[in-house]
Amino acid sequence: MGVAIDTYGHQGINPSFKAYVEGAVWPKKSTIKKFITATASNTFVLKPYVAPDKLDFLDGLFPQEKPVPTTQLQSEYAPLGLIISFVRNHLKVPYSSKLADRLDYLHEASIEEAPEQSPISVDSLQGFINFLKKEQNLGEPDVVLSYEGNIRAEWHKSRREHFAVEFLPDCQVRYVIFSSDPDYPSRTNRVSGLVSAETLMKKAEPFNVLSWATR
Amino acid sequence: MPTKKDPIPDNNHVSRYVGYDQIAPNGRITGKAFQLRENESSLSVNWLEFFDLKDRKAEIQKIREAFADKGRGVGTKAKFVALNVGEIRKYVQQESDDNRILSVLHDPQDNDLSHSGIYNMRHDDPIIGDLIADLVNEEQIYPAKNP
Repeated sequence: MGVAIDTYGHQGINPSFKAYVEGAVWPKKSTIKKFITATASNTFVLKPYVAPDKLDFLDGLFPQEKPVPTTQLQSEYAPLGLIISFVRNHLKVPYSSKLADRLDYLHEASIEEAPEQSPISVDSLQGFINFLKKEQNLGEPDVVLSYEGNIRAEWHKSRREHFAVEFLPDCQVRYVIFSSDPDYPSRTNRVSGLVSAETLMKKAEPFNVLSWATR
Repeated sequence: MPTKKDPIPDNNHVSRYVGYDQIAPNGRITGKAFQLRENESSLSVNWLEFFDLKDRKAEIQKIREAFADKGRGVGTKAKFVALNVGEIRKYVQQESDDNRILSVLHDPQDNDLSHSGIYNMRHDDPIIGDLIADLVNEEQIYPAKNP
C-alpha cells in the first residue's frame, strides 16, 4: 500500500493531497525527480510508513508499483506517518502530541515484535481518529494494539470503570464495558459487542461510561 | 514426565509473554495481552512449576531461555506475566456472563517443554481477556529480556 504523488503543485505534491498533509515535511523536488526518472512515469509510490524527516529510503530502490491516479487518493492510502503527523499537528484534543508520540512508540514496537505483531492498521487508526474528532469530550485513552494491528483505546479507571474500544478496519468497533450496577453497587455489569463507530456511545450511555471517561 | 494435555494444578502458575504493544503507557497489562490470535485455538502460556525450581525469578529465566531456544525474539520492553492457574479459572468462571470454564493444559513442544495452553477462549469475545488482565498486579510482571 502506498501513496501516489505526481509532479503537479508545490514540490511535486498534488495540491489537493497537500491540503490533507499540510504541515508534513516532504522530499525536495530534486529527490522526487531523481526517482521519477527511474520510473519513467510522473508518479511514484511511498512505503506505507514514512517519518516525515526520514526520507533516505528514496535513495534506495524499491519495487515499482502501478501508479495510482491522484484522483484515487483516499485516506486509506495515506501513509501511517502522515496520519500520525495529522494527529500531532491538527487533531484538536489537548493530548494530541502525547498521542502522536504513543503511536510512534507502538509502531516501533510492532516492528520489533514482528511477525507475531502486525503493524498498525491504517484503516483502524483512521477510524480511531475519526471517533476522537467526533467525541471530543472523552478524556485521553490508553492506546494499545491487537495482534492484528488494530487500535484499541481504553478508558480504564478501575476494575469496575473500564471502557475499551477496538477499531476494526471495516469501520465497526468491538467494545467492552465493565461498570458498577447502579441498582446493586456491589455488582459489576460486563458487556461487550460489535457495533458501528457511530452508534457506540449510544450503546455505552446506559453504563454511565461518561462518568469516568470524560475529560 | 507429564503427558500432553494434562491439566495444570490450580495451585500452580503460568506465564504469558506480553509485547509492548499490549501494555498501557503506565505499565498496566491490558486485556489484549490475553486474546487469541486468528490462527490459535488456545492461549499460549508456559507452566512455571514444570521446572521445579521454587524460585519465580529462576523460573522466568527458564522461560527466557525457552524463547531463545525456539527462536522467538522478545521485545526490548516486553514482559512476562505470572498468574495463578486456579485464580484465573475461578475469576473467569465467577465473573463472565456465561460462567466460562477455562482449562489450562500442559502442551509441551519439542523445544519448549513447559509450553501450555489456556483452552475454551473465543476469538470474538474480548471480555475474558480483560477479566484475566484484571488479575495482574505489579509483583507478577517481569522483563522479557534478561535485565
